[in-house]
Amino acid sequence: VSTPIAAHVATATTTTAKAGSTVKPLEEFALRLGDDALITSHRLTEWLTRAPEIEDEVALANIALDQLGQARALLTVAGRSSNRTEDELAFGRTDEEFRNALLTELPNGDFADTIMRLLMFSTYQCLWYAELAECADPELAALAGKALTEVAYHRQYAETWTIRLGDGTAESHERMTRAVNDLWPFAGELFAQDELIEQLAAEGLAPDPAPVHGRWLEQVTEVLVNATLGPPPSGTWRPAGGRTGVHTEALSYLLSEMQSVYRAHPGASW
Amino acid sequence: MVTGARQAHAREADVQWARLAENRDQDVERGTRAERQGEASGRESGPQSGRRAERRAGPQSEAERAREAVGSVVDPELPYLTLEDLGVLGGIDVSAVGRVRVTVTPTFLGCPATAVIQRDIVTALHAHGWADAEVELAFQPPWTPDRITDRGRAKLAAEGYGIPARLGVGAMGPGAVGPGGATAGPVPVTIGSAPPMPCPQCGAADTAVLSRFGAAPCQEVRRCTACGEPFPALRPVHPTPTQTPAPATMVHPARTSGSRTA
Repeated sequence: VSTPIAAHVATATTTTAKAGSTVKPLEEFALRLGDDALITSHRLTEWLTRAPEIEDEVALANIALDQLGQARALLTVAGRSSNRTEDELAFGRTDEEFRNALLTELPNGDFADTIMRLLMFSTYQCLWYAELAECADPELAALAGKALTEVAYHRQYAETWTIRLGDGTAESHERMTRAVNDLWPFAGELFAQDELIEQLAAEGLAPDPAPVHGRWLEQVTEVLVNATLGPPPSGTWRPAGGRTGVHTEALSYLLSEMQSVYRAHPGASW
Repeated sequence: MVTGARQAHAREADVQWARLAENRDQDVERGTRAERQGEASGRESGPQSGRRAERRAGPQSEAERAREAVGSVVDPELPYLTLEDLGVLGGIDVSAVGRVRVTVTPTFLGCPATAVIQRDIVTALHAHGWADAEVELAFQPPWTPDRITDRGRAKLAAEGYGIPARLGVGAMGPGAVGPGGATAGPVPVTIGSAPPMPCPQCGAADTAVLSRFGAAPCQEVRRCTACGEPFPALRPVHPTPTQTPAPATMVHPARTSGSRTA
């Protein structure tokens, strides 16, 4: 029941997000990382009761749980000066206020799509967190160092499955090839340079994305080649907008489900 | 249909299993329960806590008392271990006005047990007379199974858990044993080449990973290649993940290569 992923991009418009943000640059950065992790976590939990094997159900749930833990810590940082809790940020914002990359919000598709997205995303997280573990902000550095030990396992899981499916049957190979072609354009946004990243990089708070993107390309290509799927596609289409709140319609549906309880019972606790 | 011989065999296995379980219970009794009872009896020394009483005869600081109270709290996911055994406790400070602040290093960021641990610590401190208590989370240095104490390791082994051999301080210090036993300076250990994890049932050295993800974020599922028994194991956690180049400030004189993981 997979929907052609490109169809979801058509809804992304070129309008810019609301201006007038008073959030500190480092907190805006934490919001991006936290939203990436939160939306990834929610997509992975959609596999519960649907994974191909019990081991994979357990694996995907554990990966989702790690991502949720990272999201909670990052959103706590993100909401500090605006005095918003992690829950308010996760459940109280509209789609335009989310800052996750488009790659994370796309529908799960089939297992091949999910594995390919996880390979791209976890490789990005491994490289990004390794850099942030050395950044000038002690709190963010500690968080990144901790998260790094977790995402290494996510990447290993995705890599193992990529090779098994890419170098597997004719059908699994075909599905993986389609997944690479569909998802590849979205990876560019993870390493996009903008004013915020430039400013933070100048202060030693964020890495320069270009060299990290280079290493990412090297590592993912190596896995694709090992999986008989490579080299990656060469198109130049690079959809973006997630970092400024211009999302695909897929995020709106995801949020309406994820936020339904909170919106029905604001402020309720267990 | 089960034949008579099979039934007899099954009965014998049951008896053996019961005996084994009994031995384990006694081991745990000697460990955790004795500890818990000692704590449950509070600061007044019960009959079986003579050694403690002796130790307490000397001047014991408030921080030491608080550490004992907190250290004996049991982990909700691995109830055989106290928080002290698990190695998740950081500093414990008691202010002049009796306010206790405890630092905890969660095993994994998303571990659902963390909230329960925080609550249980506060409850334990309340029970020991500290009304004002709070728990802070710290992420540096990250928790690894290296931090499980020797006593904790013995208890886990008795419960049938595999435990990764210690890799040494941070696994990065000089002389750390890397893949293949090389000891040339700082050696990054990848998750693809895990430390030896012997079978908790038969002791055989050769065990294989069935799944890197298990019943809790800190666990994986393995199987012994000798006796065939599957078992839960504490997952090795290393500061240097596979294939991820560390930042430029770190040196890797003996970096291992290899792309495919087993």
